Amino acid sequence: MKELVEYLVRALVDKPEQAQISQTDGDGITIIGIKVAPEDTGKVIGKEGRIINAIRTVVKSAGAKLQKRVTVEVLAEEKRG
Amino acid sequence: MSSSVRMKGRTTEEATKSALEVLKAGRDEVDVRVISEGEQAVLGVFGGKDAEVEVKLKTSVAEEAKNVLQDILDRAGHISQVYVQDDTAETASLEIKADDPARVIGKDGATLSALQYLVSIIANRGKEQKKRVEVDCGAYRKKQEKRVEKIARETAEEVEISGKEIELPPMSPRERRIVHMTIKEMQKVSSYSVGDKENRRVIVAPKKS
Repeated sequence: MKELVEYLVRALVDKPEQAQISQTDGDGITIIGIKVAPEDTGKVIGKEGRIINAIRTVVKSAGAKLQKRVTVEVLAEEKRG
Repeated sequence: MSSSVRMKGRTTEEATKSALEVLKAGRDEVDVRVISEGEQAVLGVFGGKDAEVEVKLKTSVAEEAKNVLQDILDRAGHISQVYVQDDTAETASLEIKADDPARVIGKDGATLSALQYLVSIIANRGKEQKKRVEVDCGAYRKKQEKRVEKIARETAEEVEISGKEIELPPMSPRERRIVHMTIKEMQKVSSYSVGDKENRRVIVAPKKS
């Protein structure tokens, strides 16, 4: 699952070397976290969240086969003062 | 076979030249991305940095879209095979053969739409000539198109007879387009859309004469 998100994110952003994908397995639910360069955030979220929602839909279809619940979140880069 | 190489050289020109030799390709068959311009050595001796380029064989949007879609489906655990069904100046159409089509298509085609959207963005990146990418699975969309067309025709007939407008249920942009195109060919009825986003729907009305 992480591999799928990693592939999509790296293909969408301008700075793939700065993209980091994490996976946290909880009780019946898996959370995939996306961290990208600040200027790439729009490239994974999209207008009105269209891109991140498309990623979620594809991930959900992959999770259904494994009978797993998966959520995908974009983790915001901490703002530097 | 590798379709892209990174190469260093004294200048970007030299680096590109050696990359073309590795790829056995001509200058017009590749896209070149400069990674580093390099720096000239002082007095031709001290310091200086190599230039670096990434040279990639040019692929068509259709070919790229096919590869990207296959990569996504493989990583999503779908056993499938992607084909380029049609490739015109405006549109590249891909068809997926899958062991479990229902899961690739999703509820009301949601997964298919998401795949199409993502593949379209990725395959068109950095391309001068952008193309519409359409993704279908087991001809689901084609059949859907026929269904919507039929609804449009039947609704038009009803409106023509009753002289009253009819509101259709909310539809996707693609479905609304099909309705509008079908209605456009008709003499006595016209169509327009109302509502926002998820709730946007087509109204078929008698033409005012």
